[in-house]
Amino acid sequence: MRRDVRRRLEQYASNPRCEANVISAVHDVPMEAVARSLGFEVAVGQSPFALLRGQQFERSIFRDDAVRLRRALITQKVLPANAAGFVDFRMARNDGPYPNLDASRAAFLQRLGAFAKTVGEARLQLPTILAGPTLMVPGKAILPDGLFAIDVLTVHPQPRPAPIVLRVGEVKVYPDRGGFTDAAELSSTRAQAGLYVHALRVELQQSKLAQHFAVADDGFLVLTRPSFNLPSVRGAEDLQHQAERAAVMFDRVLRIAERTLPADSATDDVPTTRRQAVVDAPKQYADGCLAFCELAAHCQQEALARGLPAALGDDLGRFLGPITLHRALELLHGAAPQHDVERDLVARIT
Amino acid sequence: MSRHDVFERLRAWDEGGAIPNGHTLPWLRATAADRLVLAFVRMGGESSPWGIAIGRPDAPPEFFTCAEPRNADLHAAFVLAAADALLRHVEHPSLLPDDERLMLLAMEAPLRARVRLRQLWVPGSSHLDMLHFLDFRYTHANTGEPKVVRRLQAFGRACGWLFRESTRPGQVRVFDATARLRRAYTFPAEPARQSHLGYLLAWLVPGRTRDERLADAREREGLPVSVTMSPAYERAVLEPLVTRYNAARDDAPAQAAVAREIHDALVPELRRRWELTAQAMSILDADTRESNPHLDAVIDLGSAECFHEYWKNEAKGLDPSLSDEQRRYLVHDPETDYAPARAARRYFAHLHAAELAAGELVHGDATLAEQSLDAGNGFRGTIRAVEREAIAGKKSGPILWTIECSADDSLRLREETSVCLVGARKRIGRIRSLVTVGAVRTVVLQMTDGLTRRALPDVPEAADVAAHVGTTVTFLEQAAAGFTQMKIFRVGHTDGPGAWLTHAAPLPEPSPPVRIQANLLELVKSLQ
Repeated sequence: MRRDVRRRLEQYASNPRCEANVISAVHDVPMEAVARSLGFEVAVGQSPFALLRGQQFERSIFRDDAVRLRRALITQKVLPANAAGFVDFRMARNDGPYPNLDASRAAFLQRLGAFAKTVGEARLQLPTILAGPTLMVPGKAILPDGLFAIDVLTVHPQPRPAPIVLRVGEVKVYPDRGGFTDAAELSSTRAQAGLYVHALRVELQQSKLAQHFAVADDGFLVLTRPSFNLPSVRGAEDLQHQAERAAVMFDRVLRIAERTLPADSATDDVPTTRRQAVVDAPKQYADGCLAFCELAAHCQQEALARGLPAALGDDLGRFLGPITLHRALELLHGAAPQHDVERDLVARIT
Repeated sequence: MSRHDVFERLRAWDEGGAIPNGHTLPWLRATAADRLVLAFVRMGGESSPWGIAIGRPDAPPEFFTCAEPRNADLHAAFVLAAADALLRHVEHPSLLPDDERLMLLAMEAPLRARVRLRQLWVPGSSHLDMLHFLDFRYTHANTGEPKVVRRLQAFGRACGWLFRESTRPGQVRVFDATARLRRAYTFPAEPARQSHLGYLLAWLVPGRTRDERLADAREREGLPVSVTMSPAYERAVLEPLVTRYNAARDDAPAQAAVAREIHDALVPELRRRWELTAQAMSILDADTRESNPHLDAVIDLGSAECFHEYWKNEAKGLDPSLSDEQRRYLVHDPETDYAPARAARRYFAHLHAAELAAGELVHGDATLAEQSLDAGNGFRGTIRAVEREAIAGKKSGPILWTIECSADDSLRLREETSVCLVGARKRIGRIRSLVTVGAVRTVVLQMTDGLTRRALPDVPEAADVAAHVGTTVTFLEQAAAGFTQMKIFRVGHTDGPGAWLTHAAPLPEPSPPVRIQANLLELVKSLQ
């Protein structure tokens, strides 16, 4: 089972109304394995060049005590001009000092504990950039446990008794083109950052550090400057509602996680019974499935066969409501409506 | 997505293929000489092209590639090779003799006539984005031979202008083939799937059943058409080649051989995208629908935009008497408008373009008129009375038309709104009163323009009672494009309404003058 659950959370958030997707994400049954078991060809993986570029970009912004990132954060007024200090919680595979997520989390919590005890001038001189701190998913909703590293945190110390403010940042490699920046990418990035805001708050509560720290409702995004390997920071991103949405999402995940599935396999293969749980679960095809789910084509074919109007778009699903495509076509060709819903549809399409 | 669009999708599913959208096409068919088809591919994660296919639709395209697009020098050389075709297409003044350039700059009309029907076709929106990236990368290029740098900068600016032009509502210069197909037809597929050009084209193949088209569309969907190639192809074919290319950096012949292999691997990807675009263009050209007969104003606006927003500044920039400082203000920065007034000006320019296109084209397409009526932008009814209002002391008062419509129809117009008659758009009236009693809405119009046969030779005079009473007429809101156009100029005033907003803040410092150095080492030395 993958312990870094970030991708699973993203998968869950992409279509939380589809039970098969939720079980796949919560119980870590990769859709790719499910799709293969059903005999579908699956094109997986990312561009090797894109992966390399992403890694290089992240390394470059944290190199030399995050000098590039700090400069961009100061320019965008996320950090004050005199901000200094950098603590690296990343794992070794990402150029950090820690062998795994557990070690990173332990170090992060220990460091937060130390931050909380500081007073006077020392408190005001705390390190301002924390790279890759690891959090535990609240309530162990993602079985068996859920650890994930957030990209970056900034620290904004204030004199006692005011809490130290932590601000969440999300690093993405896509280019910042001002008003032309991909809206879907931005939306997904904000959702992810909001999720981290919520998770960080819960982590602080569980660690009994909540009275010493406040997680800001706003965060920042670190994107790339088009055609350059330099960061472009978008500050003051309002994440309040995204965090609230994440709280609702976690609550639902927690309830789903209570359902039992057969224990995980010691091998890399996903046991048949776990795959079958996803195959058997009700599916709810939506426009967004195309972008992330290996079963999307299969689900759309199923939905078309059953005449579910969402197979031709979420908006057509809303337009037809409970009326199937087959029935809608009959009504279009003059069949007599049988009940109020059909009568209403006929009134709208004639 | 309107209710109409959703319902049409259901109808398309019923028909088993794409169905025409509207009675006309909102662009003209240009000759091959006026058209250029352009397609890109990029290396995963990069925001600059790895390959470019470019050419007129009546000839095979030229393919340009770069073995290692992360190498800035190689990339600049590759872009430079491809630049000429695009610069020729936009009639870049540097490609014209001096006397011709000065004549065109002085007279405006000949240049506008020359570029009037020029069209650039790309496969989809990600290819348009690539124009923006090239603007970012090359508009401020500053290292290399001065002549080369100037050509790269010109290419960057041309890409930037074409990208900006592609965002102007109603424009008919930059064609995203996928979006144009969606505009021309309704496809029986969810909107998310309709961003794939190959998928759409499969629905347009004649003589097939719905299931056959659906199966074909699904198969074609597997082949990427955006600027990004399949990760599997990159991993299996391109990554080993690029690795070999970089490993052979000390062996020029070997490196050149690998570069050719990379070129050969990229060409099929580029060719597919280019050919799909040309195919989409052919299908649209072969469509039996006419172009909208009211396109002239839209095209004229496009040629004016080309001259004033692009060509004029390019031509002025070539004046050797200008200093770098003066030339700098002729360049549109890819990142910012610099001044709020300039941003506001472009906002109004876009609003004007949208109003003009909507206001003009609606009179040339019955479907657009129906959609406008559905949206409450007009009314259809029967003329019940035509009379002259009696005004004391005047021989004849204004002509009033009383029109009865259904009260169930949506209407967002209010008293004092000006409306024009569909079919005789110069006949304009102002809504005097709107009264609804039961199921009948009565509109009284004071006719203001286009009243006589002199104004409208083919239509009875507005005061002709016998000719009008009992007939059914459709009125739509008169486009107020001229009003917005005035704002384009007024927003630049320092003392008018809104100046407190657009001129209050001090303008930011412009970026430093572009340094042109023969090579990077000299540039670095000059900075020390």
